[in-house]
Amino acid sequence: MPLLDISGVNTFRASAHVLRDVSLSVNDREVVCLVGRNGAGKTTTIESIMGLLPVKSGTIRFQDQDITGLPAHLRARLGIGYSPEDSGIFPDLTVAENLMISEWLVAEKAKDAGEAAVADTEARIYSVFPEVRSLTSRRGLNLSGGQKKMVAVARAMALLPSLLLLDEAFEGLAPVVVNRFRDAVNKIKDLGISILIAESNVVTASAVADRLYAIDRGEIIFHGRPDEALKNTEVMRTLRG
Amino acid sequence: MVLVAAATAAVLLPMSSVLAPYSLILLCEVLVFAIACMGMKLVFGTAGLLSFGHATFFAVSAYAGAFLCRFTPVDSFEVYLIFGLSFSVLLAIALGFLCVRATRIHFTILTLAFCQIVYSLFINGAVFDLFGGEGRAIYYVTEGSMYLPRLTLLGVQVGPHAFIPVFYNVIVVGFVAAAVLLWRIDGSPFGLALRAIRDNEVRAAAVGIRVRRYRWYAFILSGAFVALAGSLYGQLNRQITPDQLDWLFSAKLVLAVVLGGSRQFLGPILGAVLFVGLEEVALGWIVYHNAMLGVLLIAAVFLFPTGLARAVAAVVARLRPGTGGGR
Repeated sequence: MPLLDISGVNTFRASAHVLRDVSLSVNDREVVCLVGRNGAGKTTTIESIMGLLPVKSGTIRFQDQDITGLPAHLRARLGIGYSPEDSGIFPDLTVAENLMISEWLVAEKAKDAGEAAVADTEARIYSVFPEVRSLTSRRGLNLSGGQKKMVAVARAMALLPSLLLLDEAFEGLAPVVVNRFRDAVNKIKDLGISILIAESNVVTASAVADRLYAIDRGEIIFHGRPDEALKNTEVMRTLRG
Repeated sequence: MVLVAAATAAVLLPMSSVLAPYSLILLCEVLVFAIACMGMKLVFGTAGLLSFGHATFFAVSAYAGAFLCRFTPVDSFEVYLIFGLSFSVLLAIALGFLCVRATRIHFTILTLAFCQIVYSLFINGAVFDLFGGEGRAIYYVTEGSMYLPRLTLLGVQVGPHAFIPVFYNVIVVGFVAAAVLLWRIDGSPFGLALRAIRDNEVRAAAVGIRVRRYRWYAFILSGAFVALAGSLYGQLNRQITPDQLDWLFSAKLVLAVVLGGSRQFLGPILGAVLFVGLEEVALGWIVYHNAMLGVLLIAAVFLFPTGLARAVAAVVARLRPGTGGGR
């Protein structure tokens, strides 16, 4: 049974029919990339999974539970971490405060369930992004683009998710920072967290993904291993426009 | 914070024997208004919800206590306070539950609408009718105002001349307690969550924050502090009028918070001092009082465009040795 299983999802943005019968899955400890050009439907897919956009039809199952109608905050509490395209860092809060909110919510959830709160959250975060430790006193407003993305992923990790949704995690980053993020993705996977990455660069996606979906005009046009995608001229032509 | 609170109390408490009676009353009004502004700051500055309905909690708290003292043998300030507070908090729970279902301008309109509904129920006498003929008679005589006797403080009936200096101490305790509690709330994970909601509610939900629930909690807590101020105000002035129920009173709170700085903890306190101070200055122009107050407020906005708290912080930073500022 996949960790995340999306089946026949149709999503609209206002009157525009964006996602058309999208189906995809993410298994345990797997990195899956959703690749497509700008406007193909990647962000809409991620936002539909996260519950930020209502799904018109189809089902979204997470850990064998139907979450299609669940609000976003409950999906986050179930274990879906989300790093949005614009990072979504709260500008008025320091990095430490950005992380503290998620840690507090985890502690609250553990208390509700009668469990002990996980103490090594910060250690897990810093093992992936040691740079974040030196940023803790800085306000979100004063971070660079790459730092914001790091903190966004770190904040999502602080919720102790089973699945991370990374929307355009590599976009706008310097090549050296992209490499840094590729390492981070592998480290996160080693921690037992599955990842679904929305990415427009098929080469970058292929370097980190176990499996890859290609999306165009709201429809999944390819599903397979990254090397298969790279060899498929029709897919590559579509993705490169 | 405990030290700061103790120092504040140590500075404020002796004022009752230092200040002249009128200055002491003015200081009482500043402190009461500051409590209300701090409450308003929680919902407006911290949670990002512009409410024009908080006048309801301020006045209803005092009205509820006044009705209690008028129609029962209760003459204890503590009972008056607890009853009024409880009544207002229950109202905040109900109104907040409905209002936080809307956001941004729609939230503001809802709070404004509820405020004016309650205002109209008092101004047309419907609330007074609930108390039968005597209630109706009070309404006709006072035009919707309620008068309060001097209540006993911890069971002691204080004489007329000593009442304000003694009651001033109660206000100081209320002010310091409110400041400490709100300081704790501001720095708590709950306070951080409210700031996150204010910055971006969609992203806040995506990190697991129950946006609507937390907004509701903020609304109730904020209403409780404004209600505390209302109860203190009622006993200080020994009357409560429909003017305090009008949405313009909520606007006054918002204005004071903005003048002081809606995102700084000291903002609402400094805003209250500034606002009451400007009102006092404007009183010098009896005929053109409102126009003068308007002119002074415009001047204050231009002088402190980012709020008085930030201006004070900038001055302090300049004066601090080693920061390169002028001496």
